[in-house]
Amino acid sequence: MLVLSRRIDESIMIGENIEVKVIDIKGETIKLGIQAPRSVPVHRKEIYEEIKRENVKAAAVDADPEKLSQLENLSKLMSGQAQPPKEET
Amino acid sequence: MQIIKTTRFGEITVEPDQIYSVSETLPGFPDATSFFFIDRANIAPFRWLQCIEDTSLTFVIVKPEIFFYNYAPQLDPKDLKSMEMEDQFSGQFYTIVVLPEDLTQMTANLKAPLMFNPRTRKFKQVFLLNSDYRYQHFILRAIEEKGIEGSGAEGES
Repeated sequence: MLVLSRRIDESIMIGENIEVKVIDIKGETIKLGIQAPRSVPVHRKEIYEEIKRENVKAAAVDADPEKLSQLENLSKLMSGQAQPPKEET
Repeated sequence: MQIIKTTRFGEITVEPDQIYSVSETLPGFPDATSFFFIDRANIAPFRWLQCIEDTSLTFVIVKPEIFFYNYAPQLDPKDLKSMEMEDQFSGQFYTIVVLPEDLTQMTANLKAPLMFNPRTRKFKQVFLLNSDYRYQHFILRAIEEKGIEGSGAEGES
């Protein structure tokens, strides 16, 4: 990890399009301003990691349509719209 | 018109007006920028969100209010602005669903849903301001409890 020291109002450039600026320092908390292209997500790290972890888990979907239709029937039953099992063709 | 050779669904023809682009890349998938919906009657109301660049990448998504009737997303105004939306009502929200081995434990990410703008055909994953929403809400628990309370997994939001 590259470590740089900055004072209030000083900035760091990451590549051509990303700027991180120190806006304020209060005690142990630093307020940072970030300028980045719209396509680049910017989040507190722990939030980014959490979202990423859930996305990766979700993407590992084992696409068994039968499993999902079982669940659909279940949810319909529970919401009181019971339907007979569909015939597979 | 494109023909996409998907891993799970075989070859699918996609028209340009079916394609949604990310306005901001999804955490974990920086190269995935174009997606389209695949619907199969047997899994409705769930839908597949299929990536074009990575034909093996698919998400299962669902409109959160189907299972969480009191879903009321609170958005950071910057998200609305970056998506060229007046308010959240011009957008469509979908939550990404995780399907574990034991399907009764399936969860929906209510805290960071996908927000679609049908007019611009762009979408992004937004981080909601709602303090009581979590990354994992048990869908079956929501059906039983009829709503969001009590369906969230323990932990920080």
